[in-house]
Amino acid sequence: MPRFLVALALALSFPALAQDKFILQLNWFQLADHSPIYLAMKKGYYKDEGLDLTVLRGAGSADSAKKVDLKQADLGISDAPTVITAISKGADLKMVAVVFDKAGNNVFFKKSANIQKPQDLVGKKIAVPPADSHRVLWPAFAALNKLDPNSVTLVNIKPEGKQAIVAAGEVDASFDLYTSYAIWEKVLGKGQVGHLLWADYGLPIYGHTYFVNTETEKKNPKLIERFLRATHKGWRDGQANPAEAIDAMVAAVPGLDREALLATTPQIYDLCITERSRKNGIGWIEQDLMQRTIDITFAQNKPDKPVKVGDVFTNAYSSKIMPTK
Amino acid sequence: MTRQDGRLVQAITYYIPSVLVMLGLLALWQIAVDIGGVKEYILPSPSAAVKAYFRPNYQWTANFLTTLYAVLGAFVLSAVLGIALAVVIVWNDLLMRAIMPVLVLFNTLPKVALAPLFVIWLGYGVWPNIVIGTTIAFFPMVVNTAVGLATAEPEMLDLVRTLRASRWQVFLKIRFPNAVPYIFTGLKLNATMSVIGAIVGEFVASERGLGALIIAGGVTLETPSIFASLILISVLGLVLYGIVVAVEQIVAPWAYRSDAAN
Repeated sequence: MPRFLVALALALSFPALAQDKFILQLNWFQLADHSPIYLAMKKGYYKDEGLDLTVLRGAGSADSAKKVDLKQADLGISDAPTVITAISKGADLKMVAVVFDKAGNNVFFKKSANIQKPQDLVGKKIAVPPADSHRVLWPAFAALNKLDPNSVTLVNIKPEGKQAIVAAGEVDASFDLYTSYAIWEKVLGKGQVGHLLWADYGLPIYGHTYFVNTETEKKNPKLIERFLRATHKGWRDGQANPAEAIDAMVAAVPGLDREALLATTPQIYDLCITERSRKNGIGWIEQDLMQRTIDITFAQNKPDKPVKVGDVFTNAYSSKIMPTK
Repeated sequence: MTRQDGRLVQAITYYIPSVLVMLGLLALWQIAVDIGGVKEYILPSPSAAVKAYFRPNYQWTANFLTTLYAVLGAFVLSAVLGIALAVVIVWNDLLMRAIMPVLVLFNTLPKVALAPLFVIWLGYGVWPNIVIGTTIAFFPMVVNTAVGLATAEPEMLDLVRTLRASRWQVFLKIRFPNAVPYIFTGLKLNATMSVIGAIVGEFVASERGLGALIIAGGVTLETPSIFASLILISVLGLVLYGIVVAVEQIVAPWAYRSDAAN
């Protein structure tokens, strides 16, 4: 009889073995904030949900928004302002969870530059990596701090070159996500990196988010739910043991610097898992904050077509996974 | 009808098919986008690209002039350096053997990959972009000019030697005229490569310029501005090329073999 039960159990679990293919489009090449995904993979959370996950490295938020709109991926990670801009230009996208509950937008400079507050940036040359939303957000951030957006000179720079151009003294500073701190320390030297986190100076907006094509939502909403549940289990476990998550990613992706990535994890978990995540679960989106994100995105340039907050996001697929700390 | 008029009519007739093909492609593009319902941020229609010219926030004049200066700078510098270097290496066989392999080696390096290094060494702006453009454009100048100088007909060289021409005279009267058509071939290549060089430079680091607009347009999904920039860039390249061809007809009509004129 027990044998029969085992056989029955196996037969019943068989449908779970028929895995659904699922493509995740990252915003950028693998950084520490992607490590929980690899931890979830290693622990088999996606398999448990019946997902055969493929992770594609990214080429910037705009690019991944475009790929999901063109259905070349099932779910993408991009800056909320970029997703909102894409929606205003007719992309059929919807955000389903946040990665960064607080945006990591930030400015890096040499400590010797003696920049203490946003006002000190006036008259400076700032390298802006084109593949993130700092360029879009800068006018809003400047306005919040009563600065003329044109009081700094923005210099286009290849993302890979932003540390070098600051180190060489060609520009005074560079807008870059706080999560890259370790890379900056590597180039400028330990204890030589100065920075201002925009969130500390009045820019409380959402950063990276998970988003899907609205057609995926209509056709297969369960798929989104399953992905988020597995992913947020990875975040929960990663917060408890950041090194394990980094190790899982380093083992899966060649060419990563384990120590540099590990060094950025404390800030990343601080920005991603906040009091809001502790209240409603990891990835929960609040309408007020999303509305502010929309307002700031269009503070300078009016949208091609109006964007309603209710149309750009949903919590319907929230994993409700609670962080352990 | 005068002979001049006849030539003009011939030239116009010559270009009619290519103009028709271009207009046809544009019309096809417009219709495909309109009927296919392609989103503007994925592929804008030609009319959407043209509309972008009327939006002042793109600062077309300033951006166009920045790119124009870099292109012209790279073109002139490549021409001067390329011809000078070719003269030097053809003048002296030892220098030819010493320098030519280095030049070939340098030419095999992908300049696009080198551009980020130039930014670290030279900073960014019009001057570094001129340098990047020159590294790309000057090699065909050197090679074409050197070949032209070196391949003067041996019989001619023998003849003037029997007449005891000095080396300088040989150079000025035989080698240089022989090289003129080759120099113009080099200039034509130079014209297009200078444009590529300037844009590559702007892609890596820039404050303004058409390359900077393209980068910004990619991030903000302002795709029509990308196409509008591309149109300006190709017009810039075409006009520069056209000027070289026109000058060639005036300076070295014997070397100019036009399908239109014959």
